[in-house]
Order: sequence, then structure tokens, then C-alpha cells
Amino acid sequence: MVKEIWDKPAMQRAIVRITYEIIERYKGVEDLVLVGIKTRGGYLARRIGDRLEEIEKKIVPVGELDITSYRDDRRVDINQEKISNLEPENLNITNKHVVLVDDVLYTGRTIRAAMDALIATGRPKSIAVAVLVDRGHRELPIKADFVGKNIPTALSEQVAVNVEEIDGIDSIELIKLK
Amino acid sequence: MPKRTDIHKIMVIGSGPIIIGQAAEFDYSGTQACLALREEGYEVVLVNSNPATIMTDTTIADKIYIEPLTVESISRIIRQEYPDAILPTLGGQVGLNMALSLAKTGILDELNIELLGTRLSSIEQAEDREKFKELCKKLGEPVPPSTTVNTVEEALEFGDKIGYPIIVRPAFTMGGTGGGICNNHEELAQIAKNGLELSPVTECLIEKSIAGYKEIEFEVMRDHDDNAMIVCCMENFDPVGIHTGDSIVFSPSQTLSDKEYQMLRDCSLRLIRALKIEGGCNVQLALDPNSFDYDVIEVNPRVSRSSALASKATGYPIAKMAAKIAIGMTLDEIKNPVTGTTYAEFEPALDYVVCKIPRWPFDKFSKADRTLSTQMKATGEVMAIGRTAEEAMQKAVRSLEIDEKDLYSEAAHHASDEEIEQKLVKAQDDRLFYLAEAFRRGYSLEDVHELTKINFYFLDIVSYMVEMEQNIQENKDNLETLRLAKKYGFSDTAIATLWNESIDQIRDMRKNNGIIPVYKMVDTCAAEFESKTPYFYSTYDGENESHKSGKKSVIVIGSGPIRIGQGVEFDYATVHCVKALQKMGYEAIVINSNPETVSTDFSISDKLYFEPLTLEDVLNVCDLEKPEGVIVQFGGQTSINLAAGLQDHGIKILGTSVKDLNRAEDRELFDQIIKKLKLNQPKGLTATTHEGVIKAAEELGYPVLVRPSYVLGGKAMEIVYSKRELEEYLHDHVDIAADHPILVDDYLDGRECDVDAICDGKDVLLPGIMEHIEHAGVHSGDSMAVYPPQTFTDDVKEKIMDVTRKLALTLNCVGIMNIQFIIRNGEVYVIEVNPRASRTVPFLSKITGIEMAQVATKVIMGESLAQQGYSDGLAPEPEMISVKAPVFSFSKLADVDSYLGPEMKSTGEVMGSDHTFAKALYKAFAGAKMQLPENGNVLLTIEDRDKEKILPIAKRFARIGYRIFATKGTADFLKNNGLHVDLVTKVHENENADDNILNELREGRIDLVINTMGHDIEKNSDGFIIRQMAIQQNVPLLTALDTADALLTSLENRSFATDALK
Amino acid sequence: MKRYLILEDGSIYEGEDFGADCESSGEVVFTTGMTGYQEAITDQSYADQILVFTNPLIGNYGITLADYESLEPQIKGVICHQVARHPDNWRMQTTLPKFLKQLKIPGLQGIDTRELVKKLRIHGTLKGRITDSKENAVSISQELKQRNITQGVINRVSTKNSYPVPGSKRNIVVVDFGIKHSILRELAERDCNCIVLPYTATAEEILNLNPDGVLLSNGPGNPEEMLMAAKMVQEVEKHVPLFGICMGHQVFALANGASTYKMKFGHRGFNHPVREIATGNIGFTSQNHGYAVDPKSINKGNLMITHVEVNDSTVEGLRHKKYPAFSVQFHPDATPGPHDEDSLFDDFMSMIDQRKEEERHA
Repeated sequence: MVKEIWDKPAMQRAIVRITYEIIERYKGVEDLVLVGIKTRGGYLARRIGDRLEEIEKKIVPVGELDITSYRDDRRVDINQEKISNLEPENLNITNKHVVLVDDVLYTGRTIRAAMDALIATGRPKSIAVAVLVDRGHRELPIKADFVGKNIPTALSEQVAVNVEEIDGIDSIELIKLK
Repeated sequence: MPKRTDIHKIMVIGSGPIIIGQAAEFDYSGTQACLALREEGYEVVLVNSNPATIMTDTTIADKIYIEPLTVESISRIIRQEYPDAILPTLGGQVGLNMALSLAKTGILDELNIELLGTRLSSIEQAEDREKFKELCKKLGEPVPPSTTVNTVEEALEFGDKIGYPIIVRPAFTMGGTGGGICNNHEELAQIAKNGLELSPVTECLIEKSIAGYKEIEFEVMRDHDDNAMIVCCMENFDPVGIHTGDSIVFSPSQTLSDKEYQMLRDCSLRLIRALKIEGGCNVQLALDPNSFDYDVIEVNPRVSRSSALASKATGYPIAKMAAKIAIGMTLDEIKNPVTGTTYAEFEPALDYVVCKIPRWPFDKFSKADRTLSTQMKATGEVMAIGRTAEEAMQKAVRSLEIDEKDLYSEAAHHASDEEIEQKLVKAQDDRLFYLAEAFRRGYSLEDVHELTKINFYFLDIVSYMVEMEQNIQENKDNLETLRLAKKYGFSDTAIATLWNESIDQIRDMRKNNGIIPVYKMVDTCAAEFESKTPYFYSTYDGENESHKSGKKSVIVIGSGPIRIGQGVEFDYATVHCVKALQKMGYEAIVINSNPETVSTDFSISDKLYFEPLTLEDVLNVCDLEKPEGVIVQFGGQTSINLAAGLQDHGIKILGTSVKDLNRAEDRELFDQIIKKLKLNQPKGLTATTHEGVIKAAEELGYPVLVRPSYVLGGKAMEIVYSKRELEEYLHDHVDIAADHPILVDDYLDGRECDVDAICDGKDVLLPGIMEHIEHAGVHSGDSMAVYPPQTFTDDVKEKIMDVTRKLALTLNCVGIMNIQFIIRNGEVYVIEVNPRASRTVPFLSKITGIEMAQVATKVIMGESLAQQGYSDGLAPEPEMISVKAPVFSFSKLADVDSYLGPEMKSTGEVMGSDHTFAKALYKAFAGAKMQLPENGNVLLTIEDRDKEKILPIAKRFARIGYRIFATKGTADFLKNNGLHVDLVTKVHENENADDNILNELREGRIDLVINTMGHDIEKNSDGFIIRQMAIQQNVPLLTALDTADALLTSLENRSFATDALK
Repeated sequence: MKRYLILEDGSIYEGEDFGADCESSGEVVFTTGMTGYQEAITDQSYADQILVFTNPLIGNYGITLADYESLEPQIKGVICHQVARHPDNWRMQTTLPKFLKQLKIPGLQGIDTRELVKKLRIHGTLKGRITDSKENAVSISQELKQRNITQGVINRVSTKNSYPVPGSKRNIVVVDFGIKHSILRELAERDCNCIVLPYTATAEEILNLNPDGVLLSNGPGNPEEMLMAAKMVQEVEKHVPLFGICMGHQVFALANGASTYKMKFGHRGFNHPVREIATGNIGFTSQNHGYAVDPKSINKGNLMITHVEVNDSTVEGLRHKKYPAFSVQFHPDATPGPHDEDSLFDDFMSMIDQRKEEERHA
């Protein structure tokens, strides 16, 4: 069973709110870098970046991180070298405030992997986490700094975030698994 | 987002011929769209089968195809043009359906052509009743309980379950064709059956009736960035139950509180967003007058008649904006063309009241069922603007150009109380006048509300006007009363009647005391921002905002509402007249009252006055503008009728003088000219009494053609074959016979033709002769016609030119005129002269390349034909052959006989052009939806006097593989002549027999009906019943053998000869 | 009976009377809303003003008790082209003229309102008097010219005593500069427990109530007179999420160093398109203000502009860069007007919830 929890306007509002909160937290956008976790986090990061630019009239660098090889919950070839897939390659995160952006925060493993990957590429001044949905059930001590919506869920449920760029629609759905 | 740069060439699909439910509004929207696309630098390819439109003008698009709107023909054009995209949402339901059909054939995918604007899936979601209901359910928007059915049984089961009344709405039909309200099981059985047959997908929505609710419409716009806004909210005077196209409509909403308004606004925005419409759309809602309950009636995912009305009511050009949205632009980056300073993302604020009243064809179709229901019956509409609701309504009434010039109606006056109540309960086109009459007789608001369910506020408008009548009557010559009466929209004529004075006395009294109208601007923003729209309406208020410019100006009178006999052609001519004036450096000022047309787009002329076309209203504008003169030749009979009055008040009529206009129109004066010039004309007599008419007919010998003098579109004109029929005619037209002399003409059976000539007083240019396909007797507006003529010898053409020249010069024609001839045995007979542009002007202009209305306008303004590069005589004929075919709306009008005669019945026309006559014919038939299978079944029911003529036709049908069905008499005759014929039982012979003629039709076994039976007009005659059934079943029907002959020519052209060797 | 409007520039408009039988003076302003005359008339923001409706016909659907926006409207007069003779609506309890009579508000109809509106558009807002005699027109216009009508107006419209609007969820302190009921309705709909305080409330008084959020309401008059309130905001915003509407927005701006100016003829009506800068989204808003925040005066280190009017680019929304505080010039509570922006109340709620969440974790 699929239930739409948020539609496009609601999702847009949440992203705007996160944007404002980022400005509040960093008193502007000085030294700020947004890094989205592939794939939906990347789109969300770009949207936040666009909004920051609209408001502050300054370009905020936005990167995208592919963390497949850092995931500890996937079976990977132990000998394979861990490559950071931070795009664009010349993105400088050293001495920057990095905001990691993802769609759903669940166990925390993804974020942890992302931090690992980030640290492998440079030395940020700070790392914060922004997610559209926090659905609970953390397995690691990770807390989001910016949350669009807290959706308490059962383990038998899934949260799906759809973004227009690839899913053709902006929505958040709660899927009940049988 | 700025406009798209990945597409360059866009195809626009027009809406085809004018029919009830689809009038000039799509010429307006299509024209706007094409111009908007070109403004943004795109190449525009336009397809439309309607030659009478502005949108098919060479200046509107880069390439124009006047071709049938069929999948086959449009596919051919697509393969020739390779457009990058198609814009389907501006050509009404026809354009939209065409896009859907094209998409289904796969050609769009194959050639990678994109549909712009709203996505197909959204269109389907809005149009498919079931999908739409689902969407509403998901959004939590209420819809009346309903179900979709594909069989009559399903409909009945649902109806019996939820109770009556029930509304039937066939899927994918326009103007609600085939729908209706059913009060019981039996009615449902009948209407559902009819609806299913008319629906192209054999599907109807059956829904619980919410009759009595307030009907509210929102015009909504949305762009692909999800910006959405309301352009206009309109409220129907008539509660739900009457098709909105047949309702009196006010804007802005008059009886909604802010809570109600905002609730419905929210709903409209939710719907347009959920449907992801990119462009304009129309949302119809029903609001319970006693609670916050509302229902969604329907959404039109495209521009519509209502959006044309909304555009004119607010000044906001919906179609133009919709086109710009379709190419990727957003509302907040498009400038509002009205103010020039604000953006298109702006909900217009009105500081006036708009009233729309539909124009129905019942003056022509006196026998039609005039009841108003969910099936639209109006052919056009008028709009009026005032500063009070009363003023707007009264101005709208006198814009209608019907017998009633105000809320007083003779018929209502003479009706009994019982009849009045009947008329109030069962709404007809004339209910407004019966409402007024009821108040005159002392019915209370409550009484009338009880009978009509119309809101008290609206009823009070009418009731107040009746009170005012009394007030006026009691205060004769009182200036304060006069001032008040004008403020509430009373015409000088109405006041004159109430005071028993002459209209001029009232006018003089007004002017002497400074009671003159001021003109206010329509600016979309209630004066909040400065704007420079040259769009005005009159009212009796403080400040005048319209000022005469320094330029020399000319006033062009439009043609008022679209009606049978006066269609979009005259709007075409009006617009071209304006263009010519502008080219010559004049300020062109248009006065018109029709919200559907291009001429009332304020960007067309230098100044637009949205006013009733009555002498008073036009004179008032003249008083202010002091023009060089007024041009009356292009607005049809409407403007011609104003000429004498204008001249009497010192206004200069440009072009042919009033005296000469009169010489052409007055029967006796015209006869003198014919005699003087020694021209032929059918013998004719004039009579003013009943006996006189009969005597005249007997003198001439039957059949005769009878009609009142001064007629429009053959109104009340008939061919009469016997004394009995003549008496019947006189009985049916008592009212007309009383006011006007009756003309009785010898009926000449010959080829008919139409010419439009332009004359500068010295030279006469004849751009072309249009030969009619049907013999004389079928109204020229209803007959098919071909250019160049196919059967006329050079000698005949020379004679035609000669007579035309003589008439034009003798009538001192300056400008344009139209002559109709009958050609018999090589002789040329003059039937009539119209000293004005005719309905063939756009058709001939397009195929000859001579912009006739413009050339004529220049002549009127003093530029001779020679100066314009034209010489005297018949213009050279082109190689292409073009055929014009009429299109009818019989399926919308129950009880109108579809038998063609001298009274005009068609609502629109199409054109087909090709290199051979047969191909051109084929296209014209296809455009008129008379596409026949290569072989099929033809049913012949033929009057005895036509039997000889049917034989060759029947033989030809047989030869191309058609099976012939006929009733006994015809069948015997054909069999005796060696044809194989299937016998069918006559209407009344055995009504339940499978081979009963009606059953054959009902079961869809017949592909074509040729019926010439029953020139008499009795409703229960076999001929009439068969024709009705054919119309109902959507079976092509011909009532003239000449048309059948032409159709055969086109069919034969497609088939191969299969002659045996021996 | 004849009745007149005399303006400070000496012009006289002659029309017919309706409503109360009295004279009154006020700032003449106009609204372009086509519905919602009752809500407008009862809106305290119109205190000391004479309101001209551009819609030519008002009163069509009568007056409904439930649609009052305040109990004691302070509007000085109503001007329109025509009052409906026979209003009809299932909810109506009385008619517009009777209602005005009761409230002792004079009405004037039958004048060319469009002409008057154009005058206000060109010359800016003018002071005027509705009177039954034009005899002393010259001295009246002289007097009008000298008078400062709206001074101290908030003092008259703001509540004298604090009062509760009970609810069960979040505790909100509402500071009343002339509040419209619609704001309270929106809060009530979100289960807020509100306490409405007079505009003179100090930061200490407010913070002592331990609110989860503070809402600064709309109100009439010149925001520059609200210096005490601005001082209050400077303190409160540091501690509690804050939302300002209309006057509240201007006070919030003043508190953070910006200044306001008087607009030529203001924004009144509800077809004003407003763009949210971050998203580019445009909503139609209900507006009623004669003053606006000067964008040049905004300290970019403190505040960011979040919303602008599409047509004239005036500042429509602000947000603090350090504190959870924001404000809008328009009425997200609508009434009358479109509901396009009512989600701002939801934003305020989530701002409050977020804050609470953080405190719990802190």
C-alpha cells in the first residue's frame, strides 16, 4: 500500500525552510559547500544551492558524492580500492563548512559512509547533515542538523522520496510492505 | 523560463466550421495564438477547413492550409511540413480531438513531433469522465454521484438506483451534444441511447442532477512553473440545468461571498494544478445556494467559448498567454499587454459589470424546440458592459438584435398568467422577457424564485427594471428620472415608448441637458495602474476617459452576434476594413457587441467601443469621436440597417450613399432600375394583404417564392407549391406580414451564382463568380458553390460581368456589393442585390488573392481601383478549383427540418481546394464530415416529381458498389429500370419490422440518406421523420439531388471503373 | 438624500447616502477586491480610513455575523458606486446599509468611484470627509489638510487588556496592533493556545508567559510610531520564534534596523502577486497597507528579503539571518482574499516545533 504523505508544494516548502535554516546557522553562505549524496540527495542539494543563490546572490558550490564503495552494508570486494567519487573533481572542501544532503535519514550508515568519503578527499571545517525526511531507527550515533520532516515509521514501512528531475514528480510516499 | 529554442516550426490546428457549440471564439483564440507564436519568432503552420475566418488569412501564419480536418489530410500536411510541435489546445474541441486522433495513429512519435501545452494524459484525464472523477476523488473534490455507461441498460440501472432527475453527458462531444436532463426512466432510456450513439467512444456519463445550484465558472491559467491564477469568475443568472452556453452570464460573480468565492477559487486552482494544465482552462462548478456544498461539474483543458468571453470581459488575452505558456514562457515574465506595465501574472480586477446573453436561432427556426437544457442551442452571444448590473443587462438585451429591444415583449404581454408560469418553469430562450412580464403583473420575488430557482439578487435586477418602467412612465419629461433611467441602461427608444414621445425628442432632451454617456476604459486592474488600452464602454457616470485623438478617424460598424445568415464572415470583412483604414493612415474605430470575435480584440483596431449596435449607441460614439464618416458595408445587415438613421442625424456614410443603398434594397425602386436597364429578373409582385398575396401567386403561377421585404439570410422565405401551402405560410408569419409587404416571385429553376463586385464609381472589378452546385431554390448560404464556375460558358460569364457593371454603376456603388443570379438557358436573371459585403467575401478573397474588403475600403476612402492596380472586368481565374460546402447544426436543434430550401439553415462552411473539381469536391465533403465509405448502403426516399432525376444517380451509386435501399414507390421505379434495390418498409407501415426504414437507420445499416420528400412542413410527415432520424443517427443526409450528384462525382473519382467487356 | 465627499484638495463628489447618518473624516483609500466587503469594513487596519470599493456593486450578499474581522470596526466611511438593493445569501443576517447604520459608519454611493480611484492613484492618498452638506467645503478641506488623522490610531484599536484564545497545542503570544480575526482563526485551526496582548506589551511581559512563538499582528497607521514595540521585538526574537504580519512585518523590520516609508496609495485588494525569491513561486495575496519597508535600509547582515511584489518590487517578506523569525507584508490569513499563502502559518508551526525539538535535545 502506498500513501502519499507530501505533495510537491509541501516538499518545496520544506526545502525552502532548510535553506533558511542553513543561512541562520552559518550567518550567511560564506565558506559553505553543499554535497548531495547520490542520487536524490544530489538533486536536493542542487535545489538548496539554487535557493541560497537566489536569496544571498552568491554562488554556493554544490557537489555530488557517490558512496557506493564506502557502504559498510554492502558486500564489496575487500581488495578494491576505495575511491571517492566526489564530483566535480576540483571541488574544494578543505576549511569549508560542508552540508551533506540526503533524502532520507534511516540507520545513519549512508551518512557515515559519506563522511568517510568526504574526509578521504579533504579536511572540512565542519560537517552538518540535511535530510528531507528523518524516519528514525538509527543504528549509528548520527543526528541531522536540518530536517524537512520527521516521519515516525515502522520497520515494515519504507519511505520513498521522488524528485521531479528523475521521478517526474515531487512527492514523499510511505510504502507499507506486506 | 524564457521561450524554448529547441523548436522552430509549430503547427496550429483550427476548429473547423462554425456549428452550435463552437462559434467564432476559436477564430479569435486561434488568431491570437498564431500571432503570439509569430511574435516570439516561431514559424507557424496553420490548418483549418473554415475559409470564413481571420485565422486562415495569409498574414496570420507563415503557411496556411485550408484543408479538411481529418487525420488523413492533416497527416499529409505533417509529412509535408515536418513541424517540430503541434499546438492543439486553441482550436476548440475539434482541434483537441484531432490531436488525440493523430497521436493514436503514431505519426507524432514517428516524426518526433511534440504536442505543446497541456500533456495528452492530462487532456484525457480531464475529458474522460471516469478518470476525471477519480482525480476529483483523490483531491477530495466533490462530484455529483455518477457513473460511466456504455449501454442503455447500465444507464437505467444506475438511474433507477440513485433516483431522478438524472443528467446524461455523452463523452467527447462538444457543446453537450446529445445530452439532457431526464426526469424518469423512460426519458433516460431515450436520451441515453441517443447520447451513446453520438459519443465517438459510445460512452456517457450518467449523473445525479444538481439542477438549482448556482453555476459558477472560473477561467484559470497555469504555466509549467506551476504558477496558477484566476483570470475571471463568471456567474450564471440561470441556475444549473441550462447549458452555460445557453445561460445569461454575469461577471464578476455577483452573489458569492468572499468565503464562497475563495473556496471555489481554491478548488479551481487545485484542479488545474492536479491536471498539470499548461495554458488556459475552464472550471465549471455548482454551488448549493443553501450551504457550502459544491460540486465540480467539469473542466475544459483548453481555451473555450468562456475564455473568449472572459478575455473580452476582463481585457486579459487568455489565448495569447496560453500560446506563450505553451512555448515555455512563464506568467511572471510575460508583460500584461493591457497595462503594459504589470505582468501577466495578475488576477484582473473589474470595476464594471459584464452581462452576456446568448443569441439563439429560433427567429429562423420558429418550429424548433426552444426549451433550454444541457444541450447548447445558441449560435452566438452578445456581451455588454455597464457600471451597474441593470445597465449591463439592458445593454445586452438591445445588443441581441431581436424584436425585443428592452425587457418588454409583445408575446409575453399577451400571454396568460398560466402561460407565463409555464415559461418560467420550463426555461426557453425568451424567459427573461417573461420574468419581466411576471413582475409587471405583480408576481413577487418569492413567487418567481419558487418557479425559476433564480437567485433573488438576480431576480431583483429584473424586478427593479420593471419598477423603473413605472417610475419613468409616471414622471414624464422629468430630468432626474431621465438621468436615473439612463444610469440603469434604459434606451432612448424604451423611454420614448414609455413617454409616448419620439426617440429624437428623448435624444434632444438628453443632449440639451448634458445627459450624455461617458466612456470608461477596460484596464484589467480597476484603475489601480495606469494603462493605455484603447478599449471602452459607455456608461452614465462622472468622468469620460475616451478622448478624440488628433488623427482623422473612421468608424467601422461590426456585425453583432453570430446568427444564422450572419456569421463570422462579416467579422472577417470588418477586420479587413480596419486593416485597410490603418494602412491609409486613418484611425480605425470599431463598434461591436460580440465577445467571440476577432474584431472585438482591442489590439485589432485603434479604438474599440464594446457597445450595442443600435442607432442610439452608435450615434453617441459618433458624437464623441466626430469621425470622417462611418463605414457600414462590412457588418452585414446589422450595419446596413443603421445607415439611414445615422445619415438622418448628420453622420456621413462613407461609400455607397444611403439613397443608393435604399434603391438596392427597396423592391420597387430596384424594379425600376431593372426595367430601366432592361435586365432580366424573375417576375415578381408585391402585396400587402393576405388576399393580395394569393392573387399575386395565382397570377404568376405556382410554384412561387414568397418572403417579406427587407430580410436577412432568407428569413421566412419559402417556395410554395400550392394555394394550401401559401395559406399555411401566411398563417405562420402573421407578424411579419403585418409589418412588411410580402414579395411574391416566380420561382425559376436554373443554376444559381453569386458575385461580389467592387466599384469605384467608374470601374467595376469582379474578383470572381461562385457557381452554386444546387439549383435555385436552396438558399445561397446553404448551397455548395464552386469557383471558378464549372458549367458557365464565356458568353454567360460575359453577360454576368455586363449586368454587374451596369447595376454597380447605376446604383452608384462605391465600395462593395453582392449580386445573385439565376442562369437559365444561357440567360442571366438578377435575383437580388445586396449593397454590402456578403458571406462569400472571405472565401473569394482567399482563393483569388484579392483582399476584397481591403480593396473596397480603399475605394470607399477615395483610392480608385486603377490607383490600386486593378482594372475593370472579371479578374483572371486561377488554376486551383475551390469548393465551399455548408455545415449544419441540426443535431443540436430538435424539430428543425433539415430539408434545404430558400430559408438559410447552415451555421458554417468549409472549403476544399484542389487541381480538379472532383478532388476539390471530395475535400469539401470531407471537411463537412460527409466522408463516405468506398462502398456502402444508400437509402433513397424521393418525391414523385424527382423520380426521373434519381435514376441516373441511383445507377451511378450502383456502379461504384453501393447497395440501394428504397421504399416501395421508389424501389419499384428503380427496379423497373433494371436496378437491384432492397426494399424497406415505410415509416408508418410496420413500425416494429426489422426492415422498417427507421430501424434500418437506427441499426446503422445505412451510410447515406437521400431524401427529397415533403416540402411541406408538417412534423409528422414521413420525409421529416426520416430526416430527423438520419440526423439523430449521424448518417449523412442530402435533400437536394444536385448535392447527391456532386457527392457521386467525388466518390467516383476515388473508385476504379469496373465495366464488364461485354 | 444627497451626501458629499470633500477632499483635502478641495474637490467635491456628490452622491447618495446610505448607512449611518453622520459625518466623518479619514484617509481616503481604495481596495480592488471584488468580494469581501464585509471583511474589509471590519478590518481594523482600515481604522481612521474611508474605504472606496472599486467593485461597482457591493452589499450583494448581505452581512454575516461569522465573517466579522473585528467586533468594533474603526473604519470611517464606505464609498461605492452602487449598493445592492436585494442582497441574497443563505448565511446573511442583515444588509450592508443596516449594518453600517448600527456601527455608526456613514456610506456614500452613486459617485464615479473610478474617477476618484484614479485621483488617489495619481495624487496619492488624500484625506477626506463624508458630509451631508457642502456648504463649508473650503474650510473643511483646509482643516483636513492640517489634520494628522491616523496619529495614535493603534492605541485606539489595540486591545486594552490581554485575553486568551484557548487551544491545546502550542502556546502563542499574539501582539495586537489591530488584529484581524482571521489570524486568530488560522492559529485556532492549528490548535494553538493564544494569549492576545496589547501592543504596549514589553519583552519581559511576553517572555514571562513562556510562549512557544510570538505573532505580531496587522494594524493601521504609521509603523514608525511603534518604537516601543520594535524594542520589544529586538529582545523577543532572540528567544522565541517570531512571525510578523503586515504592521507586524514592519515592526519586525524596524526592530532590525530597517526603515519604512509611506507609499503613494498603498496596496489594497487581493490580486497582488508576490514572488517567493527562493523558489520563484508566485502566490496571489490579500493586502492592505499604506506603508512599506524600504529595501535600501535593510541591513543584509541581519535580514534577508524573502518575498517581493511582482509588479512594483516592494518588499513583501523578510527573515532574520540569525534567529527563527520572519514576517510578511501581506495577509496569509486572507479573508477576504486568496488562500495561496496560508501555508506560512504551517511554516511558523514547524519553526516552533523544530525549536522545541532542539531544546529537548540540547
